[in-house]
Amino acid sequence: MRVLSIHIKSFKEILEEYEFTHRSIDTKSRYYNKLIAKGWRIPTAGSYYFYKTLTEANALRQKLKLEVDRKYTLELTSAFEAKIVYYFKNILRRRHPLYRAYESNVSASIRKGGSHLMYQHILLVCKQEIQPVDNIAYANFKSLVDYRNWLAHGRGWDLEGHLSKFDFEYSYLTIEKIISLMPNFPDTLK
Amino acid sequence: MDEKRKRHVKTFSEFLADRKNNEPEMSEKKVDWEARKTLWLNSIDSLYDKTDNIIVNNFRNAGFQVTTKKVKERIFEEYIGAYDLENYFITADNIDVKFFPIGTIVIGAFGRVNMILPKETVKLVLKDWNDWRIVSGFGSAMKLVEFNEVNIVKLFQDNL
Repeated sequence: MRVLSIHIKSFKEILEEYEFTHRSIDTKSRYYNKLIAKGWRIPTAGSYYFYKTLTEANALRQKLKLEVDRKYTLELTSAFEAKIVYYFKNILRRRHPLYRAYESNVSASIRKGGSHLMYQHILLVCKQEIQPVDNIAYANFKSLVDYRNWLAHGRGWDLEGHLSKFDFEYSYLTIEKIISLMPNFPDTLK
Repeated sequence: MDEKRKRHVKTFSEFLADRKNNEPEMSEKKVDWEARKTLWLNSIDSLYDKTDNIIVNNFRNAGFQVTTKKVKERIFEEYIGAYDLENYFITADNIDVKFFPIGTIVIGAFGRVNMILPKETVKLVLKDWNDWRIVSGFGSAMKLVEFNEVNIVKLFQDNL
């Protein structure tokens, strides 16, 4: 069995970093809001962020949190891709129907490492085996992958519906749900 | 079909009747998506009624200048397709409160609406049809608290 890369972070580690960063934004915002209440204009690095009213401060706080949310969602979904690829290649037992769906939907060349196994292949397997069992989980997983691709490829196209749906917390919940539908998914991969 | 069951089948109609009675248990769950959409849209209406009763009326009674506006939006959801629903915008003096329904194809609930307050986005989920809950916390610490006056006051205290 191939060893899992040490560079793949655990979901817990990603979650804790996300929460720490969110809290830091709140703490700093509270400090800035006190300065604003005294009538100060907040100095900033560069010209991109500046504000002098509470409304502007709240808008900036929301914007920063949204950016943090998206960056950590990309990290989370990318880590899950690496983990689920490892799971299909090394953990999933051959006798399980999910493995048979993997064999019938993914070419031998990809399965043997000739080219990369990715979300797009995993989704085909899930469409066959997960959708009949939990169609809502499958639909959300598919949308999460769309959202992850949008983030990873520079947000270059319209993706209206998914933007408000998939924040970090809902992405985390979706991944937890998909994992619960994968037989013998090890805790060491979470 | 196993050999034991085959021995009892005598005619074609008997075979079909037997097959009907022994349909595989693992057959795909059939969901009436149109009915789900209707219940979801009705639940959004009930949320907005509750919002008017608790939030809008209290703002008005407290002397705020209140304007409300519902704006149609077309969304697309898997299995249901494209359909219209209404976002709800409330302005009380300089305070904006907005409601954006996200959809009914969500994990762990019958639907979700994002409620945007000046400092935070709050998630409201349908625990059951017309039973709206405020999502508090995350992961193992997540709680669903009732969307009632007491809990709405707490939300506003934290996020205005």
